Amino acid sequence: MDFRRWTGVRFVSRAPTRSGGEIDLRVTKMAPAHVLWWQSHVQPIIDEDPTRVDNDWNWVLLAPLTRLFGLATAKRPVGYTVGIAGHDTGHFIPCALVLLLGRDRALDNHRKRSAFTWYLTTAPDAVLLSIEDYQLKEDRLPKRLGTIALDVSVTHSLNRVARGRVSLHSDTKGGERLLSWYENRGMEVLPEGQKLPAGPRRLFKPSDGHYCYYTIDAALTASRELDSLR
Amino acid sequence: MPTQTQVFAELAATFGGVDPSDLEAVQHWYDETLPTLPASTIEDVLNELVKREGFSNDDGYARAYPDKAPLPTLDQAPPVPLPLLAAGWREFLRRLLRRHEAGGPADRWKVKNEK
Repeated sequence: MDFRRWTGVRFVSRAPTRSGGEIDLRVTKMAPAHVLWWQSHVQPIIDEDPTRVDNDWNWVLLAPLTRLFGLATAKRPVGYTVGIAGHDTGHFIPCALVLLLGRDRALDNHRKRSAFTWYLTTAPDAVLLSIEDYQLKEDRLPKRLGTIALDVSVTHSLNRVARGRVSLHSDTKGGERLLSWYENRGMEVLPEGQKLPAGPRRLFKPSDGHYCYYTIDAALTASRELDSLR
Repeated sequence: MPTQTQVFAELAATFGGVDPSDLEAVQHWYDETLPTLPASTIEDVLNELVKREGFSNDDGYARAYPDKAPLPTLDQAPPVPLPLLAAGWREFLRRLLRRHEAGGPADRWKVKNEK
């Protein structure tokens, strides 16, 4: 019997590497030190790539704004940072950021609760390979960072009241490719025009066929898939 | 251009009659009072905030890179503790009592006794 719905689920603590090994990760609550380092070292490289959907994101602004929006609407905002735990140097190298609303309405059943992933980003390899204070070799680069970042939302949802349900809006800039990426991770796509739960999102981001969500079963399956890394 | 704090304070003054110079009262209004107001009022506040802050993905954000932010240390990244039970005792009991919805023991007991 799977007790995942009853007991807490650990966040991922390792990631596979290119060499076939593993590297230690740590999932922690997002802190100003992480955001500042990201905005000063990672975001400039991301901004050089106009094809990335996180191009032009300003985390120094996004983190407090998400908190404010979440608090104002009583949606329990929370931010997580996924980073490499450099036990040898004592450094923590942020390699993914996730901002989510812990208590939102589910897209497929408006009476049920769901987490809503508002912002999710991962560091490009080039950044991780060029950190002055931490020399990371190419064969030690963590893989599956996107999947791990998405799992952070699922784990948060499982550990809180939403039973694994997670929804998000796949940025239209990412087109079908990004949408397919979410589908390949087991998410359902909300058909275009299907009514969204009541709230500001109806005004600002209408149902455009880019909203995705995890049902409870799909979330449990996705969560189980990463069990070997917890 | 007004700073974020000024905009937040002005909206609290407009919608909540809070003294905009009293930032603690402004914060309290956003944390405690705003969530209790009607949904339409909350939408109005958010709408106004979005309008004034330009909070839109389509426009992008001002590029600003802080200088020389040091690499965080492990001390600045404590692991998130594992909760003993998903969502705590209250939710645990709620889920347990709701199992009949999914055809659990309570439901089977009900069917058995109805026969």
